[in-house]
Amino acid sequence: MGILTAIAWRNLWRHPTRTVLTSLTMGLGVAFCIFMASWIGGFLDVMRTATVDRNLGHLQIHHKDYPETMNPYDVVPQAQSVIEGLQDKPDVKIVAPRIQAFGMYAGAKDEAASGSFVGVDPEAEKNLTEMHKRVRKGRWLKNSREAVIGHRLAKELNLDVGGELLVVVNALDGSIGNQVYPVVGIYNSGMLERDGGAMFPLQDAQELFAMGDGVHELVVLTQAEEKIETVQNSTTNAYPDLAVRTWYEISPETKQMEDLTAVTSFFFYFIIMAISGFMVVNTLLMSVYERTRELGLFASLGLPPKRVVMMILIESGLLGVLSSLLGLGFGLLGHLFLANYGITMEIKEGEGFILNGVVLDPVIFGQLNMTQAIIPLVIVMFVSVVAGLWPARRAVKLDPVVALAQE
Amino acid sequence: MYFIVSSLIILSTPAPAAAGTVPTSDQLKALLTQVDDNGRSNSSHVVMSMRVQTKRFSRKMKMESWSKGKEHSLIRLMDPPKDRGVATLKVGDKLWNYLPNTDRTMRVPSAMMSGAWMGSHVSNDDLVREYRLSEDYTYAMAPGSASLGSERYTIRCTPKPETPVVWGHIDVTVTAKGVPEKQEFYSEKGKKVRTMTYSDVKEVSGIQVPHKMVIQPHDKPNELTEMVFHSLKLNIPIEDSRFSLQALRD
Repeated sequence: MGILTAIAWRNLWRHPTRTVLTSLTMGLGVAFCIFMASWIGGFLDVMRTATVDRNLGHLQIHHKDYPETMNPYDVVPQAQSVIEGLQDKPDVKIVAPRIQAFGMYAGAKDEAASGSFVGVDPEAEKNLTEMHKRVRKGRWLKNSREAVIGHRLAKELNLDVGGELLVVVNALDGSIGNQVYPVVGIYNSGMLERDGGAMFPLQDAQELFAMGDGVHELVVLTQAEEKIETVQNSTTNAYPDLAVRTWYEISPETKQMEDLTAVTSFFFYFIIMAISGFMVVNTLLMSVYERTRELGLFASLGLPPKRVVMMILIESGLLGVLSSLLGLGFGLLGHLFLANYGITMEIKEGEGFILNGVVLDPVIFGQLNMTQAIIPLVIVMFVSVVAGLWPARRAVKLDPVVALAQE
Repeated sequence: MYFIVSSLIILSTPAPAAAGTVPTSDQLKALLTQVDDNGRSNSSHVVMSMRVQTKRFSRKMKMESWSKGKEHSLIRLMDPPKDRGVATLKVGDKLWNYLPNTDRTMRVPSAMMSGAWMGSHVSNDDLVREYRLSEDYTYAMAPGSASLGSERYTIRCTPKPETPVVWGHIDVTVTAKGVPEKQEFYSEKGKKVRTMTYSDVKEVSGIQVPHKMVIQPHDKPNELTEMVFHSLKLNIPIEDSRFSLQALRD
């Protein structure tokens, strides 16, 4: 075995340029896979942050008809006791109530705009979605009788922090709810709909809509991703009349995107597999042809065909290892660059892609887990060895007499 | 308000069709013009009550309204106390609300025009719409009209292609004297969407005017909006300045 490995190594370096070019090509394939995995990981993270962390939470609870009708009258029955019940569960981290509606807004002039109206518990929302970090000017909600407005609404109404926002809504008792609130902050939530509207403290919203202590939505953050379904099941059992949905049931697109990228990665793996296979076959077949005389000599000296096969497989295996190491090096370099500097994909200033009405962050930083880096390495080594079988078979099939006669 | 008032106030003109005969196209047009005109060139002042019954709430309002021509109207709520002073001004195709609570006026944004006005089954759009049955629609006797006898007709009005309304057609039932009794609105798929029924006809300034109107949406069988006129004055002089943002606040 030792001598075979030595011979195989020597054989590889008889044509250093060829070996280096082959392993570089295969290595770049590996590096590309690692780099893509890092980029896709970063993209998924950005997407998840924008949809799940900043808005949906892990679970959402509504009146059973609300998801379909979005009817403002369909409030969560006995919301307060549901909230308390949830907060008692050890798997639940935060519960945030919301009112989701529409309002008409006006600033100093009587020109009005319509947009989303969201009533929130400022403290709970701060802990759950970190909305306070999305405030670009002024501050997040703190006291009653104040409003924060989306940057799109601010622009439309030409309204700034310190200004007054007139809100007019169709209250649930049929009256016209109207109120003026001081604007304490302007936010950029990244959600187109929300950025065209405004947010208010829960009690003010309930008063304006004449809806008592009703709420439309409870957003739940669990302690960990894998607790989501446990909490969903226990909540559904406790309140069979409520619609309790996970974030991936509410936004299957986000989940589908994750699945889609898994398929894409598989596609890349397949390509490097094919490239590596053909490169190895090509390189070693050439090498076998060049060594016809030498292989004939081995055979006539009595080297068993098994050993010849072994020698060639070691050659292809070494080629695979060489390529993998080069690929890992380049790939990690690429990933490190991506993780530190990121790639900016701005559609508009400060805004990235828009996915289902959600603006993604413009800069994507690489994210890689070790499995994703190792899979292409394993694939390349495996394919190299398997591809070596073809030239090996050819080497064994040589007739020693004919081979020795060749120039 | 124009929509409400104009639908109710009918100019008293001679019967266009002789009893027992099928009206001609010209006579249909004359009848529809009466339904359309309804004091369009006149001014009016109305005190009325409006009752809204929905699955979720029941609400009674009292209001006062002024209109002049087809371009101008102003409605002000008198009751309930919570909404007292809330007013809507229509000038042309624009609509403003005045909110005394906050002492502000707000132009209703176009995205909210299809929304309910004061929680009723009348939309903001209904308040400003300006289409005339006799001009923007084609018309013919509706099937089954003959069974009504010679005292009333049902005329099917179908919007002309260039008329941007949501209806497939409207069946208007009108007496031979030109007083509307019923309007039935159908969707483009031919489904009945809502019915307006007129009743309680009284004479005002020599004109036959129904004093009660009920709007019933058919997709919500237990809901309705009912309007009753308590006092109605027609052809009175009203200053144009009444229909200004300034006057809206008073």
